[in-house]
Amino acid sequence: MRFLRLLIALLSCMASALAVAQSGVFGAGDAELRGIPALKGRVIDETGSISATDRDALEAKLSSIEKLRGAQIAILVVKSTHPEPIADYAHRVADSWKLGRKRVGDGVLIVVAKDDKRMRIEVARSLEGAIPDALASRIIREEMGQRFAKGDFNAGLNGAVDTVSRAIGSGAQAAAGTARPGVPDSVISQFKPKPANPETGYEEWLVMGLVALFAGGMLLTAIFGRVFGSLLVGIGGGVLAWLIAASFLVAGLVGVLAFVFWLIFSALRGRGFANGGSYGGLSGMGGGGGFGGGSAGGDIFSSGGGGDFAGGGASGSWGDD
Amino acid sequence: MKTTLLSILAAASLLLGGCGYNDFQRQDEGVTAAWSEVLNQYQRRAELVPNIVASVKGEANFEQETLTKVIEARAKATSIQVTPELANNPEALKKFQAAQGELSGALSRLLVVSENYPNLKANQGFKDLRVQLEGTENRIAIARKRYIDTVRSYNVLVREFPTNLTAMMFSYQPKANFSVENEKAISTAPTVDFNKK
Repeated sequence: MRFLRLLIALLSCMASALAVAQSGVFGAGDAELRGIPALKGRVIDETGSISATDRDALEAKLSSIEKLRGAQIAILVVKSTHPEPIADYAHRVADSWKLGRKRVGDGVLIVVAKDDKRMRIEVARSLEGAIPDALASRIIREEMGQRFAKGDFNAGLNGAVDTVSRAIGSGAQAAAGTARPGVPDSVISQFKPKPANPETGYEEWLVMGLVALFAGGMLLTAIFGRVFGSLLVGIGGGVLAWLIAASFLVAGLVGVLAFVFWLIFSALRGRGFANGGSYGGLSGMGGGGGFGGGSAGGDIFSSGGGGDFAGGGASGSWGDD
Repeated sequence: MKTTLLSILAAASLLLGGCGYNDFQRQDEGVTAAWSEVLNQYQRRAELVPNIVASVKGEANFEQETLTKVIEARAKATSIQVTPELANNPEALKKFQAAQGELSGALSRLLVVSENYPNLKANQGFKDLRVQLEGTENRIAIARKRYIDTVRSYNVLVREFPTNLTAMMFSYQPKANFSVENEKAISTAPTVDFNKK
């Protein structure tokens, strides 16, 4: 009885200690950071610096750019990014909005912190070639900075958008060829699934069986998910091997191999590393979706979700210096 | 007999999948990718330095000591052989970090000092280089942050129950991460004495 009471006391001690530790760790820093606004439109102005008509015109312009070039540009005007520097805040926003088409990732985010007199153009990785940092900086100085200093936010943003759009247009060819510029070819080829290597001397129906297993595996993975689908593929492979070799040992080995292979293969496929044609498989279709933002005339806007923002772009300030 | 074997196989496969074997594969690959990105960005900076040095050298009587430090720090940083295995070796990672941190310090000191030279400040080429350097530092910061996050979640997987059993079975070790103290040293702005000629 005494022992039990001691145990309960000890446990409750541990629980409260954990709770304290947790609130100590997580309660301190995070609360102060500025929240990320919901992506309600292409132009989000929290300061009221842009009139409603100007905003509509700007939205229409961004929408037509998306139709023409595919790239998604969004503008966020906030009062301040305090306590973070604007680069950190802009990156957090960009990382969460993920502007840009699904497999192209062409997004640009323009952030203006009015009271800080700071601005930043955040460029997604796939547009870093079209809009290098030096160009972003020039846009900030020449298009935005001077006009912002006079208080004309609308003109500054329009000028910036025009230049960005032109840059994307001229860099389009360069960007079109590479779906994932960040991943070198050597890495991709490393992940290409090795073709099944049928042993010599077996009948044609082995090949047919493998093909059937392959096709069936796609279906099974799509239906049962990766792990269970792979498991079924492993079992299928084992059965196939047992039919051919009539040996449990071989069947078991083949089964395990097939399972592991399929697990890795489907994992790679799901991540899109198996590039090109094989992506259109069943599991790819479920999550793919594609061009989310390309729809309609700008009324319904949503991020394509493809933008990977790795820190490209530039920051600047207007006013005193 | 057949069913017994099949069920054993099924159970083994399930265990393997259930105990995070796949997660290890995925996250291990994630760490490698994040690490490549870190190296990539450091490399980008190293390639930028000669241009910066060249344009600063155009400025007569630029503070030599600052310049020399940048050149030396770059030489030191690029002399370290970077391999993917570096990320698995805490000692080597520490050395690598220190060298890169030194270059960060030397470069930001150079930028601060360059403020004293009006010609240099007005030079368009130097302005662009400066922007590129800032952009690269920003990318390095983000790449490091992503690396730290991926390694953290990988290490949790290695240590947490029940996936730690899988880690033991396949001998996955916790990976070395960028240390916080070093982070602090890097982000501390260098002090510049303007009185010194």
